[in-house]
Amino acid sequence: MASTIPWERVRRAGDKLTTPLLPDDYLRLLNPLWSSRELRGRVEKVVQETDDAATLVIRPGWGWRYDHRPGQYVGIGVQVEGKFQWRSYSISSPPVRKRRTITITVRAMPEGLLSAHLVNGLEPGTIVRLALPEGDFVLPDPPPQQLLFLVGGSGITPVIAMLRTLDRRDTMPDVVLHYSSPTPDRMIFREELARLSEKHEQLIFHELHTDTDGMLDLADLDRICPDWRERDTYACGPGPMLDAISEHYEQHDLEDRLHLERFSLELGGEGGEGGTLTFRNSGKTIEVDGATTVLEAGEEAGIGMPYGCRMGICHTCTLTLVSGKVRDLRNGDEYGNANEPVQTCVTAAVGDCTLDI
Amino acid sequence: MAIKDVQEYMHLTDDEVEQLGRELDAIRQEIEESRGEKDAAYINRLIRIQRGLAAAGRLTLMLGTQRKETRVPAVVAGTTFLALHKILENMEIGHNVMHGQWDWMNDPEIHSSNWEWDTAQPAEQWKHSHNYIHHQFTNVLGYDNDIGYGILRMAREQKWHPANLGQPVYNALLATLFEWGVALHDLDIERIRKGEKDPKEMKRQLKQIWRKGRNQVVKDYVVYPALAGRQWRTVLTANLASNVVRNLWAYVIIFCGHFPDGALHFTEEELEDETRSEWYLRQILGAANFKGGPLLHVMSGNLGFQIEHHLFPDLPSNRYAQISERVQELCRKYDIPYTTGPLHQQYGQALRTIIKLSVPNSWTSSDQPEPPTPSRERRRKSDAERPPRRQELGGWSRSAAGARG
Amino acid sequence: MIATRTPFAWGEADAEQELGPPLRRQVIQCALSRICGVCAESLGRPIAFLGTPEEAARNAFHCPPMHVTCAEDLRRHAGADPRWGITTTSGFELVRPGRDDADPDVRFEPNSLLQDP
Repeated sequence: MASTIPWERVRRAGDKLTTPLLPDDYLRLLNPLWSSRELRGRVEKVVQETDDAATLVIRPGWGWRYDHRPGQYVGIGVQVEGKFQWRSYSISSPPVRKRRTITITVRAMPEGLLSAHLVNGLEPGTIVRLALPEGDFVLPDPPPQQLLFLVGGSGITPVIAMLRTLDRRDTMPDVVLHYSSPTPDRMIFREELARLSEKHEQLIFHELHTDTDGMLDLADLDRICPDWRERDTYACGPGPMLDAISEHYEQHDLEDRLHLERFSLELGGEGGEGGTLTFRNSGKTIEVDGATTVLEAGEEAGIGMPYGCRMGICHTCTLTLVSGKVRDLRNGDEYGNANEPVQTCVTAAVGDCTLDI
Repeated sequence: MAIKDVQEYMHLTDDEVEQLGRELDAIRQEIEESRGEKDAAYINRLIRIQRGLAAAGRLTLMLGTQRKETRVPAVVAGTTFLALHKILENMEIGHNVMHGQWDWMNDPEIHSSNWEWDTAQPAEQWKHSHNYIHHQFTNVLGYDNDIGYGILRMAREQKWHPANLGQPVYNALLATLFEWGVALHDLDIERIRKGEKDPKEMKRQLKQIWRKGRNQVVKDYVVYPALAGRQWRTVLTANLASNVVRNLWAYVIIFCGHFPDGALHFTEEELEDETRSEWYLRQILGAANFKGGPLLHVMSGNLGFQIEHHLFPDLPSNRYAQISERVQELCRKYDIPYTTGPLHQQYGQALRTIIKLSVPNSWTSSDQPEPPTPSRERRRKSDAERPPRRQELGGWSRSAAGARG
Repeated sequence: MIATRTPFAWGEADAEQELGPPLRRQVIQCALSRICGVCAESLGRPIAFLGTPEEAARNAFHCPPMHVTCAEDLRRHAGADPRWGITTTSGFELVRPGRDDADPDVRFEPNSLLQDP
């Protein structure tokens, strides 16, 4: 009865042969996916979704359990210049074991080394590292009877996993999906969403193209979705949008109904005072308020700002502050020495500043 | 003569030593910045080759010995593959990974924190006895246990004892059983002998060694022979042979690192006050290289670049060859001896020292070279001419409370 | 728990007092032996450094490498610097002080900072 001897146990017995290594350390040389020491996956296909977004179809190796909950994200590690770089992306595929693949959808951020690499630089066949799925931005099972999704930009990725799962299980409840994107072209999964909404009449799909129609004004919620107060709301998108949404729900005492997924960092602390930022090499300047990070301001001014984690950890974004003073939004510390290196992703201007870029 | 003050010995001024330090810093920075894809590919390829050799060796011995016609070639080939695998794993991969040379890749599978190497000594103990004791106190008498491994008398300053007469024999035993000598190294035989060792710590270490050593022994001398069935004896002998080959090779390479003539010993007491540049200088003077082709260097874990390894123990070993050219240039520029020679000459010198020092000093003469004579523009300065050594730097332990406000 | 024990690299510090700078000898030992500055056991991955925002900005830390959990414990130590934050990395460079350095202490430069756990 070979089937009663778990494969895991066979491999463990193999330790005696490979000590101090594990059998997996040898097996992965035969097939890179044959190792559960570090979770691995092979990129099977790269599907272009929009100009700057692509879906990676990944076949996970040993140790992957296909039990992620729709809405969760997964860490993906790619070797760039010899170094493993990790980012987290929502899994966009429903949890289906027999498909043997998962998909993640990535938007290339301007100057975002890793996301650009994932969208444009990954050949099918590349081996990536994976981390186990994580995150609480998930639908309960069974799903709530009435749902509202407020989505901006690439915030659609966890939501599409939820919708696909509801569709597959044929448990689509009463759903309103409001999806903002600058233009129809940049709207990821636009056709699929339209198809889903055609198939399920209880799924209502609102598109908002912010380049032409402006940002979502939450006062309009009453018009877009009159019964929004009765719905469990799942919101995912850029920070300012989520801030506005959570403020709106607080005002109506409905925080309990709201579930948020933030991709970017949470800044506490008091802001700077704002001022004029000057970027020395290009001579560009921009007026900023005290809540806008130097990095965001630079990007807005069209500067190719370096950045990495955007949350003050990796120091990729560090630039030299030629003059002026900035405040660390995490703790209120101020940096103002001449030619001091500053982390642009977590600092904001206190008065006029000049940066060496 | 063991050296008390490296700088004095070298007739270098403070500023020259600092300048040398800055030039070495620049090399370091250059390598750090250029570490990348190629280096990662190098270590990954090497690991693939080494594991391939391991698998090939085991399979050749297990299957090839079953038939009479293939038995002899299988034993020869299998033993060779196995020995090569063990040598590569211990020297170019294990030793260097445990130094943290590849930590920058952020790959948990090739990382100093969890690498276990294919030899009897537990990695944790190696990281203490080698990475710390040996690399920090390189060739400092009374600190660095690598000077003679607590068994051999390797410096004329060490007191002679009649037991030293047996050195040639101890040496041969150490070479053959090198893996086990290394396994016991961090126990610090010297301290046990003097009764200074904490018994609890010793028990913990012994347990670790026992567990690791048992796994190694069971693998080579029980499991693989058993898998060969009736040919168990052949496989056992081949495994034993491959271990001995690895032992002899590792022993020769390691003895070439610090015991050829020209690698100096130190008695420096103020190690704590050493500046980075002085530390660099001590590393250059305390180590010895050997010459050879790329294959020899890979097979010896790039320890033929012992000087470079001691200067930059955590830079990737595949870069030492390139670093070496720059270091040699610096040594010429500053009149610093750069000890190197062919492998057989370097080992010959180490062996001569082992034999000579088995008898009292007065019976033999020293082979250590004279200190370099000061060139005219770098003549020895009088105390009045010499700028005072800055004593206030680095005195951390003495002013622990106030050093950093 | 840890708050009452003296961390390895602060061998002489009083448990109730401010920790102050760690001991140089132990710091170097931690770096080379790749052991934790708090519990003195082999380091894990990732490696954590405790440092003030200035140290983090300069990417030069003075506390020895630690386990992440040990670093968190040490941060809660009665004598810990309240401004300490944790930085994680896969690898680091050990920088011995040079004669002319403005900073006379041994320091660490993480070389592979981690964004994700």
